[in-house]
Amino acid sequence: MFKKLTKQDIKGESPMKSSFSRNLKQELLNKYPNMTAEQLDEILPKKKPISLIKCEDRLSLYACDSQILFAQFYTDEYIPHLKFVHKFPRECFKSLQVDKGAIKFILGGSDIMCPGITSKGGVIPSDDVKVGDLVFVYAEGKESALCVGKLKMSGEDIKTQNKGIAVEVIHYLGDGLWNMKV
Amino acid sequence: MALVETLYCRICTFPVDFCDYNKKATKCKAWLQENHPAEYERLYANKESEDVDEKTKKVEESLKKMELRQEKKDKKELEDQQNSKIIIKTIERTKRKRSIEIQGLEVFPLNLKKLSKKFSNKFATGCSIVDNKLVLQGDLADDIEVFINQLLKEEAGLDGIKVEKIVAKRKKTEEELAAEAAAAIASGTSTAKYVKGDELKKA
Repeated sequence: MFKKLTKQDIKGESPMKSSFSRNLKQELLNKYPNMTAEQLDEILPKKKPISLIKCEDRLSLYACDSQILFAQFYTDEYIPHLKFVHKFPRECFKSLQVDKGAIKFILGGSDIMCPGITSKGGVIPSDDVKVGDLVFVYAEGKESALCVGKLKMSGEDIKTQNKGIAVEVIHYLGDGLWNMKV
Repeated sequence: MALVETLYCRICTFPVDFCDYNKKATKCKAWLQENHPAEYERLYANKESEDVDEKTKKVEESLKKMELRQEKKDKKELEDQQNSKIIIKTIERTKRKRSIEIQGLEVFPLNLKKLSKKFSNKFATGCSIVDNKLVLQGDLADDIEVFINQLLKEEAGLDGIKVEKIVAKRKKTEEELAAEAAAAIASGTSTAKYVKGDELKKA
């Protein structure tokens, strides 16, 4: 989704109120219960304001200390930037794992197909991850997350059908959002 | 619970374990070996001895191909940058006022918008972007030449880029040229007539 995002798409930047930062932190804590307030304070220090960067197509980016942390379409869910994801251990997120063969295609921007998850190197998402949830994709033999996507099939379906798109990739390593500098 | 520190590759910006899947993998490896030898050991040391199965081999091969392609592209880009020229043009505004136009900066990995701010801060003048050219107010050609060379060295690691300085006189408008020619004829110094679009020729 961010494949073609470039600097030209940026319309403007403005600082946000500190109350926004507070609310954002609270929201994140609710959503990812494994995170702690101290960790978030380190990433989003109270002294440094969050800035809102507005882009084309109702996309807003939230940055702090010249590092993009979140993206958001309309007023949907916050999509964490991968640099943000990398700062937390894997247990914090709803995750799944793909095998080695899939990495190349994901980094090229394709969606994740079932066989990449069901094969030997993959890990199927647990049952509490529902269709439509944001999932964080890790890879066989690698430590860091490589993309953020939306789950399209439940873990059970992936196992039984083993065909078609399992995860719709939103943000991956090396896409426009990753390369964006502010 | 502290935050997880992820090491990012300076070359491809990916976390180091994904360098393999980048188009500049060889360069990344060299960088990692130089700067973080411990990490390099961990990632690449036992790779050769490990017997690889069919699938991984295939992946590796296709990655290599991709890398080659990218290398060629990068080389060309670098060449383009080396061959390209920056033109600093001095334009006469009025008799005593000059403005500077800088051309050919768009090939380099510089942000023109930020650059214009930098210029205006440094030289205390107005600086704007007019279709990929920077226009500065004031007669600053010499200072800018020095500054640009320094900037390219620091930001892009490029040395010896050609910088050319041109002084452009204010173009005379058609009417002015015609009037001049007429005046010359009237005073008897010249018999040449002004032809539209042509330079003034003296007989």
